[in-house]
Amino acid sequence: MGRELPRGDLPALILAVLDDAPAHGYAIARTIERRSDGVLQLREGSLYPALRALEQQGLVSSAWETAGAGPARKVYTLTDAGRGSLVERANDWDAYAAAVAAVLGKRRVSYG
Amino acid sequence: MDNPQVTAYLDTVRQQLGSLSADRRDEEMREIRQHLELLIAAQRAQGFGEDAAAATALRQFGHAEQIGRQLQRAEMNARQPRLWPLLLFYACSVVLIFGLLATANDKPTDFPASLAGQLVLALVLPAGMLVIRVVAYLRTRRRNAQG
Repeated sequence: MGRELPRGDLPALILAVLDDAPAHGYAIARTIERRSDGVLQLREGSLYPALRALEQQGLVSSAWETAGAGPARKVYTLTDAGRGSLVERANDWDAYAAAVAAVLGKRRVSYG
Repeated sequence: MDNPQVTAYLDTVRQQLGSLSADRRDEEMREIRQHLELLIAAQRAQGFGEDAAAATALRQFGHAEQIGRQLQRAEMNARQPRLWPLLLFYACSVVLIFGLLATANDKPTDFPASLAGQLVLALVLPAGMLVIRVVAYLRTRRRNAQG
């Protein structure tokens, strides 16, 4: 089952991917796809406006880098501020997911 | 990458980036082009023909006009105007005008009574410019906040 990823959720996922290692845009998209077992589908072009916003907030930095014989690619790296923001966003998400699960759980008990 | 679908797609994105400097626009387009090339190569590796691979890649990348617009907006946000240069410019203008007026009308016997009028003039003359700039600043801030 594929689910279109809401734009608002994308920044947190980008930060999470970059927490493992610096990556270029295409690699970020593939990692999101792989880690979600293909469930989360994003319009990959939407990565770039999200990355610009994260750069402006100082959560991500970028540089053109050449790896091996390939062309230079713009690689994004998580900053210290980005790491802090990721922890905050992950905590927020946990609290939100727990709240939704609690409500759904009651519903399952009531109607299940 | 000479596929006509891809060329048309990239042109559409580029058209949305009109407010960016040529360098920034080229950099954005280079990055998008590379991403599309990788997507197309992945499709080709799965056995799709060139046109089918390009069509799938473009669909996966998203709506060209929308992405261009979002990118443009993100870049404009980066150019968030700042208030302090306006105020600094105003202050410098006041000092300069006041200095010129005070020097031009220098009559040691009048000091300090005659300086008050010149100071008011120095404050008022550049004020119109300041008001216009501050209104533009506030508008831009509001537009960016609505994002």
